[in-house]
This record gives sequence, C-alpha cells and structure tokens, in this order.
Amino acid sequence: MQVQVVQNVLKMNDELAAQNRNRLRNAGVFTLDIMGAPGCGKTALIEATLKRLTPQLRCGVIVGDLTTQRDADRMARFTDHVVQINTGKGCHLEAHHVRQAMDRIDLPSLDLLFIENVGNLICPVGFDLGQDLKVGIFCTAGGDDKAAKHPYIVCESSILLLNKMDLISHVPFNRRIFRDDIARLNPDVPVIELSAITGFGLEAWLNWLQNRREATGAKKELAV
Amino acid sequence: MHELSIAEAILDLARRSVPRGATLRSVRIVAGPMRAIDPDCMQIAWQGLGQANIALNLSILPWQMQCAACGLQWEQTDLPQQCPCGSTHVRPLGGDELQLLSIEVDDPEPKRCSSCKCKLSKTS
Repeated sequence: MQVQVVQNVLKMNDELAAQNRNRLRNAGVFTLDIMGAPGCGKTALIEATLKRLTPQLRCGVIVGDLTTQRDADRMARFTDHVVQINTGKGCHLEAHHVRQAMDRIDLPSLDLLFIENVGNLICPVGFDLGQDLKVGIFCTAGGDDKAAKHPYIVCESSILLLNKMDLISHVPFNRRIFRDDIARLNPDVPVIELSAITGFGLEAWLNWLQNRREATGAKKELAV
Repeated sequence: MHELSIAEAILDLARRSVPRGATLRSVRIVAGPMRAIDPDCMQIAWQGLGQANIALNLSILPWQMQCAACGLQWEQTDLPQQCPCGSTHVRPLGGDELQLLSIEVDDPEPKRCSSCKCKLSKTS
C-alpha cells in the first residue's frame, strides 16, 4: 500500500531552527552562521571581528568542530561567551546542536552571535540553524574554482567573503573567474575581498554587518 | 557525508508516516541538485542505518536554468555554464528541494481470534 507523504525531509531540523530563531530575536541577538572549507579562515575572521567589536558590543560565539577545544580557546581571548560543540563524526551543525549551545549562553546579555560551522563547503548549507544570515567564506589559497564547484553555498549565502587576499600574489587565483562564477550563480550576493590577518577589507565587512544588523531591527547600533 | 544525516531524517519522518500496525517497505525521496546528494553515498548511509529491508528510492532532479539574456528556461543534469543563445548569464532556479514523497507499507496483519486463529472481520 502506498501512502502519500510529501513533506520536507528536514522538517524536524527546520522546526527546531525556527524555535532557535525566535529565541534569538526575542533576546535581540543578531546571529550569523559562518560557513567555509577547513582552513579558509573562519576562526581568524571571527577573531578579527571580535577584536574590533568588543567590548563595545557584547559578542558570543558557538564553535563547531569534530573535535578539540582549540577554536573556543582562541575565541575566549575576546569574549567569555563561547561554547564549543564537538560533533564527533558530524560534518555540519544542526539546529539541535545550536539549541543545546544556546542553553549555555546568557542570550539577553548578547548583541551579536557568531556560529562557526564545521569546516565544509557542502553539508552546512542545507541545515537551517536559526541564524539571521548565512556567510560563505572562500580563500585565495583554495583556488578560484571553488565557487563554481559549490553552487549551493554561493546561492544560499547572504554575503560571500574572499579571505587571504594577502596571499593573492603568491597563489594562482584569477579573481575574474571567481567573480564571474558567483555573478552567474547568484548575481545579487555581495562579495568582499579581505584578509583577516592583515585587516585589509575588514571595514567593508564590518559595515555590511552593521547595515544588516540595523535592517533586522536589532537593539543597538554597532560602534565600529 | 551529509547523506547520513539526511538518511536519518528520512527514516525518522518515514516511520512517523507509517499507519498503525503497518510495516515500512520503501521510501520515495526527491532531491534537488543543490543538495549535492551522491546516490551511492546515500545508499551506503541508508544501509548504515540497518534498514536493508526498506528500499530507498531516490530521484535527483535536474538543474532548472534560466538565461538572463534571452529568458530561456531549460533543464540539464549537469550545471551548465552557458545558454544555447551563447550568453553566460545563466542561473539556477530552486534546486534545494528535499522531500519525502511517499512510502510503501505492508498492510497490517489482520487480527486472528485466540482460539481457532481464524481471521476476524473488521467489525468483530
């Protein structure tokens, strides 16, 4: 006997993500899901951002990794509100991970929350966590073909960052190819070139963050 | 290996959809190309859940493309870089579908009376 179902397979995750989103919005916390391949500079970008925004803004970080507390230790130099999630075998964060981590953070005392996803250009994209916006990071050392090879992250991100611009003269990376591939897949997405290490391009990233946070009606302005 | 998480979610949702007393035999899934689901990996993940007696029927949808220059819409199994008109201003439409369409179940075993094991009618 056939039974018609026609339901979203990730319905359970999406329902949990909606609950997370409600909690975060009620607490006035602007939340970004930071996605990118291992080594693209997700942690370095969040560190550089925290360095600029704290203590004027109260920032929290949820860090996803298969194992180790290393990223949490790095973030803890800038904020006390850090929760490390070790997914074990899991190659991405899911809404239930974030819900458990949120239970360990005093949300009303935060203005901004960064969720650093597990290093991966594919799996994290399909799982809603309850964030306001998704941020996709590529890097020059990763090669100029990564956007074309990973259309889902290009299409689903609210902004794309090209990190490690300080290395661009040392690696084979054609910016035109990279940007043309993005323009083809998602002509509306902004692209910012930056270096989390040198600070190049960081102003544009922080301005984008400020504008988008204001657009969501978050509770106070960024002092960048 | 996002296929494992997706396989778990499919099994969970399918089990919730099984009528009382029936046995789940197969599930039918449709996935958009954005999901980057590898059918072989998906079958391995499914087997990894210990569900060898439940068939997983997975259909991957083709890319739905639209050309910004001439407006043509077409389908293609691999992600095209160019419209037949020559323009490279082509973009995918949708593609992130991931749905459990239907399940196949064995009908529930009819009740049998405790003394002679005859099949009881529905009204009994």
